[in-house]
Amino acid sequence: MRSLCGLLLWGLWGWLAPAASAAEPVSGQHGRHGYALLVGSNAGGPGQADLRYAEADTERVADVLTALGGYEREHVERLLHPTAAQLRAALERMRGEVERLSREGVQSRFFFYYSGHARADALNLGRDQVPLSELRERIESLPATLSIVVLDACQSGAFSRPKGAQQAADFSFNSVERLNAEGIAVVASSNERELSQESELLRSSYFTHHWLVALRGGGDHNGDGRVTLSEAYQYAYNHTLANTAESAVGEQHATLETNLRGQDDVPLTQPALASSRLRVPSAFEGRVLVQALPSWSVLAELDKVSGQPVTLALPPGRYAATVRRGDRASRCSLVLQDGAEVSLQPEQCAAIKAREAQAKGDDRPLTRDELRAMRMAEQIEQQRIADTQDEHLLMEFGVGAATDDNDSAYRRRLTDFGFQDGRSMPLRASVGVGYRLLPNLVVGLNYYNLEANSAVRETGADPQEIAWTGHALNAYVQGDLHAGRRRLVNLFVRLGVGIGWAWTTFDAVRRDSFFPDQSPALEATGSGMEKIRQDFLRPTGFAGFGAQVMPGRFLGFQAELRYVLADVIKNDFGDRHNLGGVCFIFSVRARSWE
Amino acid sequence: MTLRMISQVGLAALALCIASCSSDLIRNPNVERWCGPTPCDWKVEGEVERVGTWHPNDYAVSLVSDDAALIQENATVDYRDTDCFDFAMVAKIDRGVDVYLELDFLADGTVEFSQRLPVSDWERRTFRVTAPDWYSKVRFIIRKDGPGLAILAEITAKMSRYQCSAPAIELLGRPAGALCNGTEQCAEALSCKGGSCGGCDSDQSCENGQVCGLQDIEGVSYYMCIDAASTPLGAACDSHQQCETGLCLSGACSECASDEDCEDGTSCSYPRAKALDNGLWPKLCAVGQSSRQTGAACTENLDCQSGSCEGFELRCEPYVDCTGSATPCIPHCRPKLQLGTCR
Repeated sequence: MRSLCGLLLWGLWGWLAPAASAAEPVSGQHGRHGYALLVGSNAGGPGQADLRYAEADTERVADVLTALGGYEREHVERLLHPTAAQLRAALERMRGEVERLSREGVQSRFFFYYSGHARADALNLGRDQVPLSELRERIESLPATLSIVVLDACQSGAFSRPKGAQQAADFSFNSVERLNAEGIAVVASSNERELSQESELLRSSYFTHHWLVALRGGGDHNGDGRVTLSEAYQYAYNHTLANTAESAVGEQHATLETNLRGQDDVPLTQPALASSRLRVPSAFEGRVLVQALPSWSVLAELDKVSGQPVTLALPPGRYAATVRRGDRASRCSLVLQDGAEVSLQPEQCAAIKAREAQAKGDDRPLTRDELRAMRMAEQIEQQRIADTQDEHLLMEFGVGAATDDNDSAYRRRLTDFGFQDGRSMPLRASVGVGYRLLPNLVVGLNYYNLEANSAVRETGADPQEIAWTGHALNAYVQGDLHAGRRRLVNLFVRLGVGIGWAWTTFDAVRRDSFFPDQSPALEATGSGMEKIRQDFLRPTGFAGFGAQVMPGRFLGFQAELRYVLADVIKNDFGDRHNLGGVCFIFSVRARSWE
Repeated sequence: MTLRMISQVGLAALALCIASCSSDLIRNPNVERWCGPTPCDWKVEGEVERVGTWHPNDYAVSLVSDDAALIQENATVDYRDTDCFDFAMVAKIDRGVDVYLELDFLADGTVEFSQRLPVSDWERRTFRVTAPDWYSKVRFIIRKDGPGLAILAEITAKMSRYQCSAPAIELLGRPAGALCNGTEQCAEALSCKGGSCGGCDSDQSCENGQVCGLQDIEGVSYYMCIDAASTPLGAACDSHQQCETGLCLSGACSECASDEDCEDGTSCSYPRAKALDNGLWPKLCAVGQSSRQTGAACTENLDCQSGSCEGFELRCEPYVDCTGSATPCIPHCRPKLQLGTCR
């Protein structure tokens, strides 16, 4: 009976299992010659409460078999909440496939998994029952070269021969390209007298969870990149026993029966060949809890000892790794990409409250206050991790206006030389790109135009105009203070330095455009003019602050007030003019969002 | 005065206003225009050089040699346009360098105003100079005396809209016809009589048979020794002795002073053509009575027996008053009378 016994109250996390299907399947194992029948049933029979995770466990086993076990997806049949007739029919289909291979003289492997209710003598499929003896007979009669049976049910050890559970022998490692072992192996989650338990924390049965962790690499005891039947059994046995040792239901001892002929241990998975992997360093010692994001479903829980690294094959995606050493706990956010191995660096994880870590790793029932505190802490943590994954690339396009520096030395000099104010264009434009380096730190580049203005001198003949304008490109650093989910509102302070390029054009009287030795009777009434351009290049900078509002997922608005220092142009007397000034810029902002 | 005459007066006044009422008295004040090695509109003495200022192409003139000078004459401005000059100057003058602004109001080489310019570092300086109470032209001179750096970027002189408060420049050696307050202001051999420099101040200063009479020469009236009784009827006069008629009445040689002076009981009066009040109209007998005989002076056909008066002319010498706060300049007409002859 698997029901309320040994259950942990958790209920905080999303329940979606990670997309294990995204992982690339490991090649070179069973390929087209392996068939699996996975059966899961939450339904309880008379007097039995429904299970919660049996059917989900079945899905997870299917994912691991196809991702790491080398089984082709179309050869893995899942039966969820079947009737007895459906189970029998599925077994017959498997028989047909295996017999076909046998006639062709091809070696085959059959994997059977059951998760659900059971009593000592039968599997309970809701109101239906399938006697264990019948099940064993059907499986043993399959002409498969090797059959592996995994039962996760109460008293499932009774499936074994009456002489009881036997510890698997320690087989040495050999090639897995050819089945060097034949026969049948049966792994049961508990002996014939014990109950198998589910865990609210793990959202799985203890046994299946640890069995899958083992297959993902946690059970690779000798570190050869492969997990064999005995390695997986040893891992699952030890961890299941440890988790259930102090439960009210009682200890749970997994059993392994083997009737194998051959010299080699049976390889089940090759985590080393998985497309994405998480590596726990050999020096680390402590407990590691790996949860998939954003669902927070538990993928692995390791009690690691120092001396040997552990590599877990996990699907590409985002994870939270909680590390606990003694009474100290910390958490890292990780991203596993396809084709890459990420090494966990516990010393760089952020410290979290021991209460959270203790609750997650402890199976004792939580009080209501503890549960409430954990929920709040987890929401904060969830938001923090989500924030680190939110916007990365930013772009902004803005327009605005600015003041002119009418009292600069440059302008005063022009006034002394008879120039009056000319055309002024206070319009400013700004374009920027940024990258979020840290949750509250952005770096980027910003282009903006500088003051465009002029001054005119009315001489006796043609007026003379001096005009100037320019542009600036600055690298900037921005500090953020955001509020709301997904950074709805963000206050920022920004500093930028870079280069400014400006030029002046002056209407000069063309040289030698008049009469040499001009007669006193002649009065010139027109001038030949030419525009003389001078270019200037000089450092510029700005300091600004503002607010950003992001009502949309990718688009929002921004208002910024900034002071620009751009003493770019100067005259031959050394007088400078600031083409910057106080600017107000209103921008449309775009961001990339994960 | 007919409409045509009024129009002529107006157009002439406008032309004069444009020519002499323009507030800029110096051409090419920013020395932007260069005619070869020297700035246009300026006469150069010594050695000068074109240099850049705040911008390499905004030019200034450097007075290189120790005796370098820039000279420009304005012959269109006179005492009637303004008695106050507004100057603006932008220059670079090092300490210890002697640079002078000089004004020659008669353009005769005699400088009536000389002012050493202060040390300057390109700042704009403005100042006013009170012109003489009479002048007919002005020559502007910028002169360096000695070594050192002196660069002139701008020297602007405008007719001021305001009254100068400083004392006027003393101008001596004024020519005949110039306004004066005393003979010492007039040129040698001239005397100040009637507010103008002239050739005499009394009949005693003239030779026998001559009198010191008011003459209108090229539009300028002043006293000079003339033969007695030589001034014709209608011309300006100052004494009876200078008129042919022996009668100078209200500044014009007249035919009669009263009806008693006229024959045949005709009356003595001003011609009907008198339209402008300037006191220079002669009195004539039988004006408008068709009784003046052939050969007699007349102003209109009705004056003559023959009914035909030829040669009468009333010219208007326009002038404009741009003095003081007169803005725009006010046009005036100085009538010049020429009597006709009855045919």
